[in-house]
Amino acid sequence: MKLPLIIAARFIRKSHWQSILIILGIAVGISVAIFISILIDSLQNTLIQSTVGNAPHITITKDDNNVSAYNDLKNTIQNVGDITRIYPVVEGNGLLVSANKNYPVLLKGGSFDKENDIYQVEDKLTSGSLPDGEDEIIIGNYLADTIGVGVGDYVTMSKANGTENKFKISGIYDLKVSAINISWLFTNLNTARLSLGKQDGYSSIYLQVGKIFDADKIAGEVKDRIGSSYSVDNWKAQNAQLLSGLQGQSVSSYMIQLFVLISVLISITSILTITVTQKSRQIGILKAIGLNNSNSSHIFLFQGSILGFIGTLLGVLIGLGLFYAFAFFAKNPDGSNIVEPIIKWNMVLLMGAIAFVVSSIAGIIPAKKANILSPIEVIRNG
Amino acid sequence: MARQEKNIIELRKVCKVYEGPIDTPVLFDIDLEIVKGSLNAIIGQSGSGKSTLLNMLGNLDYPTKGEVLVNNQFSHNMKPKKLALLRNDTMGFVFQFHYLLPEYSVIENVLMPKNIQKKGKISKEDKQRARELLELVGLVDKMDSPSGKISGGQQQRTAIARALMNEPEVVLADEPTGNLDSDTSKEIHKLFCKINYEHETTFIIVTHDDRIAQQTNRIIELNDGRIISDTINSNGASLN
Repeated sequence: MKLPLIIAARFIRKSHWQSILIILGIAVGISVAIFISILIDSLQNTLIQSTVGNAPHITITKDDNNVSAYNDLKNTIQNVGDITRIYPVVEGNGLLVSANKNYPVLLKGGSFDKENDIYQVEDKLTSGSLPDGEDEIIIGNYLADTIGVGVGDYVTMSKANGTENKFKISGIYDLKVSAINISWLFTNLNTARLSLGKQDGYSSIYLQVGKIFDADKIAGEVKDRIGSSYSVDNWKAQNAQLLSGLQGQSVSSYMIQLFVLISVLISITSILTITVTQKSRQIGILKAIGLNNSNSSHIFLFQGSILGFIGTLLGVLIGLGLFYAFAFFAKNPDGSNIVEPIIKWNMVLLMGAIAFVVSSIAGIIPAKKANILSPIEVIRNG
Repeated sequence: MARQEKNIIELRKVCKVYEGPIDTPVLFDIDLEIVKGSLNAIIGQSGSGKSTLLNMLGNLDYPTKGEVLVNNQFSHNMKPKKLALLRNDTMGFVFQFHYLLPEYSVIENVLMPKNIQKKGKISKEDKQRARELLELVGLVDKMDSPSGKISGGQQQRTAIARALMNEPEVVLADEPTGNLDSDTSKEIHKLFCKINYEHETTFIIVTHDDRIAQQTNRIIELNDGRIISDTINSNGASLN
């Protein structure tokens, strides 16, 4: 194996322009495949995080809107799957009364403790502070702008039973979702209970899990443990369209990568086949002086592998560089990244390995050609 | 001291037909024995089948009919791998158009048969032998030059050194001086005679130059694919 490898390396070195072009061809193909793969993964991750990152992954409710015996329930489910947060809430609908118009709102009362608050409201405050005393709430920036109120102002919420509550605005949040920013009011558990007339129990229990794509399976296990008197819903069931969109995006990404690899395969095969024709004189003379058919073939298999290895390595580096450049320069108007770089290194390694194997396979046809080349053809035809 | 006459290569009723839209018969029932240590010339007109005969003797091509023996072993039906080994161990080739590997330097070209034989594991002794061969052909000062950057005569001498690298029993040369000037031609033939004399290496030289043929021990003349004369040349280079 040593001699064909040495000859292959020499052929590559001595035809350096041709070799550089082949390596660049492979590198460009692989870099596009790597770039697209990482970009789509990162975009999907950013989209999923913005959609469900700060939202319940699993919701436990009851038909009578009263989940009681919370502690027992918590003990039953806390070891299921990889549940990271258990967040009980008391919530109820109402209308925020303004001078010109009434706005439908949802009052949510829960803990603002960072360990349990799935919305991480504390980090989302744009002004003021978290509700502390009774009758304090925080409202979304969109709603505050619409009705023209700020921190320290009072607002009135009217409920379906005709009663009204007056709240003091202690802070303004921005959850980056306009539908939430215009309609959700956050308060502490006590204020919510008093305002909504709910002395004990909770409206819902929200859960977050580590592996968000396993939310449906974990929801199934939770349901099995707590019994059929509860309804257990999960984000995947609620966002079927989003999931189908993501799946479509993944499939299109795989298709692009597949076609890029096929084009790399075809290009290397054709260039190496031409190389066999160019080097037929050399192969013929090597065979005449005793190189056997198998070693002659190995020269071209090694050429494919060497070119593939260098091209793939370069392609991976260019692909990563392109992605980091994209992530660095592509910013939202507020200066934040459009995509948060998520690089699955095992995926990059797998793609690199596939590209290397494909490049090596590309040497098979030229190798077969070299195998059947007869030295007498070269000697007779000069 | 008289030499013991032993055949290194033997052709028995060898025929060769080049297949194509119209089959072209080139050799007809050739019977030929090449004695070990002899210096032979094959002469004839263009198209008489000289090169084809040399290719049969060198096991570079298969006969359409007949048998080829090398050291009393049938080689015409050997598998390609075994045949490649036989060529590498037993034979050295010098072609009309030099056929050096342009990717390699002069000494690397000379070392190539050894590289093939030893699967790329060249020793210091091998390098020393290549150097000595280049000294023999007068090219030691060019040994690191790229093989494509030396003159035609130097390339031919490099090819001769390469043909001798594995100490072959027989060297087959097809018009080795066909593209060279007369002085260089003489020099190369002197070299063949010297090596034949000193190392008892068998030489089979295809040539259309009668002066060169006259320096060999045996002249085989071909016409239309048949041997029309096979004469011992007592005026040629003496081995004794």
